[in-house]
Amino acid sequence: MIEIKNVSKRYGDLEVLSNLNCTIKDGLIYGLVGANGSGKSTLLRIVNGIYLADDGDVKIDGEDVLDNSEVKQNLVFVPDDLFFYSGYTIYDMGLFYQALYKKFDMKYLERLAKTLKLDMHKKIGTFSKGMKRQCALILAIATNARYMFFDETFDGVDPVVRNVIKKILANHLEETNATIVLTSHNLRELEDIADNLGLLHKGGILFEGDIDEIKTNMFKVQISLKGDFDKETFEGIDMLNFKKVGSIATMIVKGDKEKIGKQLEKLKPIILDYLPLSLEEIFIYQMEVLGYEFSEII
Amino acid sequence: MNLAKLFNGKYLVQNLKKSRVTLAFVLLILPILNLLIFCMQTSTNKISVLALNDISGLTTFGMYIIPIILSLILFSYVFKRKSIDFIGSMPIDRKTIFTTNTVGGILIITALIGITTLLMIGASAILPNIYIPMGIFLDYFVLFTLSYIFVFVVCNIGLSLAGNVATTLVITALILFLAPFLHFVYQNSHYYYEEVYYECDQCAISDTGAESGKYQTGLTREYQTSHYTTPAEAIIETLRNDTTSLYNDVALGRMALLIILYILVGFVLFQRKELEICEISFKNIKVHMLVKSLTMIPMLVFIYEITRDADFIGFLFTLAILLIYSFVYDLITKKSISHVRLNLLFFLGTLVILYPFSGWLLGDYENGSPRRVTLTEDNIEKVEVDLSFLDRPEETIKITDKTVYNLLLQPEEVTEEEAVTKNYYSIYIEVHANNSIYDTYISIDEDRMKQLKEMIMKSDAYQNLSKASLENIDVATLSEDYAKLTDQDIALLKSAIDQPDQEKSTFYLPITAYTYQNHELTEETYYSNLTDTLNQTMVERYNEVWNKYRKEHSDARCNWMDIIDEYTYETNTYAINEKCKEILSILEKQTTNSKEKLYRITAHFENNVYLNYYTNLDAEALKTLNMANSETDEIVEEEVVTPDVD
Repeated sequence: MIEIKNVSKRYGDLEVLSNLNCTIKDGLIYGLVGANGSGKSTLLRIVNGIYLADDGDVKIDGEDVLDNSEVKQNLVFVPDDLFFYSGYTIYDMGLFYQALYKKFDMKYLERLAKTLKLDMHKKIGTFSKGMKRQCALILAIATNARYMFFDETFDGVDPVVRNVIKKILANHLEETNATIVLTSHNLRELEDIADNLGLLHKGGILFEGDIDEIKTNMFKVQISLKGDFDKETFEGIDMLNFKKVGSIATMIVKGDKEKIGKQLEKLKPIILDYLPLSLEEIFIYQMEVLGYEFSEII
Repeated sequence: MNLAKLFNGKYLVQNLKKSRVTLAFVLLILPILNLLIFCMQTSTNKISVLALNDISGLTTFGMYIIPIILSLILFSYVFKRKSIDFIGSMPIDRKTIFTTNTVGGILIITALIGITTLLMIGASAILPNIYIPMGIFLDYFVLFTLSYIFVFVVCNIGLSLAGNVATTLVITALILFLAPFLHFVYQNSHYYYEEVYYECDQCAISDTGAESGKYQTGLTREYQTSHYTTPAEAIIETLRNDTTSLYNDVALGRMALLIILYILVGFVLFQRKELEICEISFKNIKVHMLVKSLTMIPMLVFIYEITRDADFIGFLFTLAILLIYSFVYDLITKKSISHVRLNLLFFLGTLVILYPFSGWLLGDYENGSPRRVTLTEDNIEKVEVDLSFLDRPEETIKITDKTVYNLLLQPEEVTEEEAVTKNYYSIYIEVHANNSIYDTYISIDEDRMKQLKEMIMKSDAYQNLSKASLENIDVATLSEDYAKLTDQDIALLKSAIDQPDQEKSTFYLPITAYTYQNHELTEETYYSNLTDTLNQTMVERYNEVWNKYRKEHSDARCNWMDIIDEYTYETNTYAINEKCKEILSILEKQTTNSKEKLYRITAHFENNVYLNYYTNLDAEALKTLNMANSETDEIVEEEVVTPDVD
């Protein structure tokens, strides 16, 4: 389990993280979303023991990370700006990882490279951006680390490669029960892979939760009743948003779908439709409730 | 603390592997170039006895580059955000990274200097005309291993503090040079405010106005014997045109201690390094400016020195140069000019503090009476006398005889008449005392000059110097002589060999008349106040060297060099003709003839002193020599028959 407690970090006058708290349970894919400059990368660097937090502490499995090579055996970090030594092949990079990661599996790396049709002995510098991302990914996976951190992994990657990466991550998670933390400034990129989502804004986690739970407990209702009606008509329903155009109202409702459905049925609606919400819509409405303009956050 | 955990060999291998091309280039360039230069030193085909300074030129230069490149390669990851993310997230802690890289760097440097030393040892064993005592190689190895490691660990501190390469280099330079520079400038500038007296109870002449028995000497302190660390010492020695060996026990000891201290300091600083501060000089702009101010000290001192006598325009010129420097520094170390107002404030503050400081450093505020330094017979360690007056330019002799001190340092009492009529000689002397070197030109009259010559030439130091000066003249010079022998010479030689009973002088003179005059030896014999023992020693020395190297050297000359049919000799080229072989053949034949004759013939070729010795010796001296000959004859014969080629 990753525990981040009261972590703060400043770069000169700029406060990047402010008293941030977050807990990431094992075996999950945790998506960390935030606008550019919101502190996602800094947080990952602190969690991985690259940077020292000004305040607060980070513990993984109950132990400090900074300068703790034993704990770091279980961590692997793929930054947004990838790094490969000049003139190195995947194999060369594999040897580097192998020198430091006790559980690094070169054969596994070869298998993954074969699956992705990446030449192990071709210089990485000659690869396309997407291929380089795949290289970084398979090298990280081959470490067999229990905690994997991918910063903006899908950035600039075409949909085909994105799907491949997602598939690889999903397979790996299935096999190893690893915990994966992904960051992105684009919510849609994490929607179909993350189990949990955290929204980072102004140095803190603004909102976090289980995606399935969020999706199950929030939905859009289109309803039309006989006669005139307004928001007050639906008293007792946890409503995040209400809009009425003509005789049809659209509501974003939070709560148990079955219970709310029964409540609405009692009003004998002429029209009653339940529409699914995209994750982005959920966040937009959730942020509105919290008093934020979503477009300012992501 | 588990020390084994502090070193990760696998990481070191991988870390070196990533820069293998650069590393290989840096590590090969020194041994290869050094070897080439070493071999080129032998191209004169003279037997050279090389000293530490002769073999350390390139290595000294490399001291400022190789360890720094090595440090930057090993710790390269700290300068780029991408590589910081990569290495920083790896399961290796900073303590291990620092110690692994430091130990690795030290091992590489030791191997590098070791290989360079071994190559030179190998070359000196193969090359016939180069000779270096093993002790010199050991000194070379110790001196440069420590010096390179020293620069390496200093650079490690630099990169632990700074966020980019340029600032790392600046910090490294400041640690290496700033303190020695300030000390050196201060000392040199303040020596002019001293008056050096010599206290001499036995000197006959009293100096008017001085305390009894104390004489103002005119000596000026040239410099204090320094024990700077090698990187600073090498530059300072160059500045003061000092050819003293860089090997200095005190400096080496100091450097060894500093290496340990700097490793510990680097270790602590590296743990505390904020890796997010990369690609910029420092996290704090004020620290950046402070470091910039420190770099301005040497600049300001130099500019102050140049413009100290200038008027206000000179001051403005100084100001302009420093201001430009200030912005250029920012561009190099920060790649931008920011905080202009703060910059200017710091600049003015620096100027206000450093301008007077430079004046103080350069001795502008010295006032009152000059400081008096008194030298006595007891605190003078030695006096080094330039031997130009003995027609030995470029040579000096170190005197420790107190009576010579008195002769050199007591003032000349000259009447007006004498000042016009008497001849005076000017002699350059250096007095070593109080850990300093004082120098001046003294002026002495003919009588004292005669006394001085006698005293010096009788001294052991002069005798030893004469012996030492002959050591490098040996076979190479003789080989040149062979090439100059004409047919007539050869005929005379053969004739002389066939007539063993003729007068010695008759035997030598004709040949002497035709053969090349070895000027140094001629001078030696011209001033033949040398003792008989020394003459004998010289002859023996010649024989020793000759017998040891004759065979291979002559073979080399006859076989390796261009052999042309006709005899020619030009200033810069050797042309060995058949005479070479012919003479060799004559000499070889002599192995079966009388030992004495062979001795004489070889001695003739080897030096003219021997000729003089024989022609000038009295009966007693000749007897002494003959006794010496009889003792060495057997050896001579054996060595000629079976030359020692080692």
